[in-house]
Amino acid sequence: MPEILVQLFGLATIASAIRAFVPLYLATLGGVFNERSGIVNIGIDGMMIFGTWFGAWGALQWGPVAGLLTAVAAGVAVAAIHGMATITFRVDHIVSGVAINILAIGMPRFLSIVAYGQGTQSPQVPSLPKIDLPGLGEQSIMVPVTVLLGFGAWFVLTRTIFGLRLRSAGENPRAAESLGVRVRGQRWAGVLISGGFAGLAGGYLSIELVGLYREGMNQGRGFIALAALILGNWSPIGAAFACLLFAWTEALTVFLRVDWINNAFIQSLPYIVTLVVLALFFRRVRPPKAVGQAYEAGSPV
Amino acid sequence: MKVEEKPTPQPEPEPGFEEVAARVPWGQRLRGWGIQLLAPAVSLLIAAVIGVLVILIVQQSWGDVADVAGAMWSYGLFNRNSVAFILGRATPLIFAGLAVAIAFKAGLFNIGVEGQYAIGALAAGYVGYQLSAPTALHLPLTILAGMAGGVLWAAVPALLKVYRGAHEVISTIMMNFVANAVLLYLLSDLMKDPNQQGGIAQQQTPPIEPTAQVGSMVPFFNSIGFDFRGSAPVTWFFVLAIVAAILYSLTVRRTRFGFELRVLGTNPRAAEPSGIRSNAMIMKAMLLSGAIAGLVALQDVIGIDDRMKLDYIRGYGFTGIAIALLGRNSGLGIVAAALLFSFLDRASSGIGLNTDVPKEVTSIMQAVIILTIVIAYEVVRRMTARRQLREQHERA
Repeated sequence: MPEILVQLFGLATIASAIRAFVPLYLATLGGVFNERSGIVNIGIDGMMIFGTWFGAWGALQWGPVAGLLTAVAAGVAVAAIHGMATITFRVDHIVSGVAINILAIGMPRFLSIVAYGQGTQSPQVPSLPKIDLPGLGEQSIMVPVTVLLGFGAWFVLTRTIFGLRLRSAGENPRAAESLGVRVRGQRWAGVLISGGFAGLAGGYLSIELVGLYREGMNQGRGFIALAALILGNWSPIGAAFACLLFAWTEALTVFLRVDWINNAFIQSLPYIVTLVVLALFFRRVRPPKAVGQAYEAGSPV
Repeated sequence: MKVEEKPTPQPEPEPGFEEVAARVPWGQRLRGWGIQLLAPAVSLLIAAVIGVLVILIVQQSWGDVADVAGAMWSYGLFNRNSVAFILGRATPLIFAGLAVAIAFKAGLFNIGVEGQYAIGALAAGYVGYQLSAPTALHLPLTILAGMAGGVLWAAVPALLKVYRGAHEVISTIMMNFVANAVLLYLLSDLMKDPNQQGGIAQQQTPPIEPTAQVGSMVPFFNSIGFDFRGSAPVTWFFVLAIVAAILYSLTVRRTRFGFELRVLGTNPRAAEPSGIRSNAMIMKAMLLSGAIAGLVALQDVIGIDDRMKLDYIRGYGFTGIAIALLGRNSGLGIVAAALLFSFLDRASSGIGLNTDVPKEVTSIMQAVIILTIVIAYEVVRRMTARRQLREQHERA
């Protein structure tokens, strides 16, 4: 096989893509929940960053499983801030999300200094035992868990009453309210679930993928997840394919080497692909109808 | 795309504007301003309280709280160089805040200021060391190159938005990452400084010609009674930043272009019916935002230092979003917010030097200010709206 094909589709590349798929897909699943409930969550990236920090910290204290749970709790806590701002106080969703992302720049550094005595990195943290997937080498146990969570999310959203209500809050909140759905409650559920997924994604990054917390390790994955959400047409199944594409481009940054392209540009491949995807698909998809709109029960506005 | 006609320079206010403004009684206006100031005041108070709580949790002593407050006050404001530092550090923040704000006014979120000023600084650095010309030509060209770099980087998300509908938040962030790659590539390859001294290779350009440099403001300040050290980081870019803030305010409030921006930002659906071409306005707002963003790092590159270094790309773009939010997108507000954040930076050094508390406690306070300010403004906005509604009812 020619070298370039090995670089593009070799087992090492695919195995690496699977590893990169997990955090992207988890974050995107979270995004599906908040967007389908009507809340825009630009703060997913910040929630992931908190997940990476608290995941590593929790794993150091109590082991990897507790670390992942700590990451989930951290994501939910940050999501609660977003929920309070957007649902309770009806602040513009993007403004609040941006504020959360800025919070995620300064806060982890302070926490690191307090916890580890230095600002940018944690000590090595314990990981879960690896499993051997046929043909894909050693993988985190989170890989099958993520696939299950994807099916779970699809089932909850499309086959349960809770999912129907959640989607109705994002499509037509007024009609939903008139049928007895508590729109704000559904939106709170959407945002908190989203924070939990984002936190878990961050926890996977620090505990499973890298084995420690490092400043800037998230590398904007939360924003790529937002693009995957669009490309996947706001569905858990579609998002899986979108995330596979993005995860593959991320793997290429490690394995692809082309003489006439500087490595710095190969490193930015995921971002360029995201731009291209946005340019090609943004008009062809259909976002939830009422996403981003504030809703006040019984208000004429 | 076809070239739009230039923003018509019409300095006269919208018809009837002055009369409407004059009809609001002064008492009511003062009360209105008081309410507007209430939000930042509450937000600062909450930030201070949370700062105290964080110190108590970390150090568990009130003595440290007093130490931190003392260090912030005495070092932050009264150290010999503090005022110069605050003005100098506020300069890039003012530009960044204005860049974010002008896009905000049109309802656009330019999260890409970070990448735009990186490319701007590269372009300015290149013109600075490559060209040789008299100052009268070289300096303006260098500054224009900086702005052009910012415009170039803002143009991609603007075009994607207008022609493909891609949301600017995601595309501008992606452009930040791509800018980072361009930066790494150019500074360690094409634009690398060939004769570096010392062991570790810095990612930097060759030195910029003296004809493209902007002077320090220290001699000026010392001539009017200050006593800054010669190395204090404040240059004439500070004056340029203030001028930019004034021009921004005048443009937004008093020109037709500014009016159209605000219509697009507050009620996009009303824009087209009232003869505003939304797409053209989106392009203009985004490119203007990029042009201002291009100025952000120039003080570092051609003022304080004499070359472009990788280190000069240090998050001003994200702080700029905070500055614009805190300053409510007004020129005066942005200058005040930039000075406040710059003071917090300076005070943070004081905390690091004089206390046992990690100096990053100020970054928590900044974050809390950002989060509480958006909520506080929203609460105040609703309070005012409710009051106006009540007054209308009473009048009717």
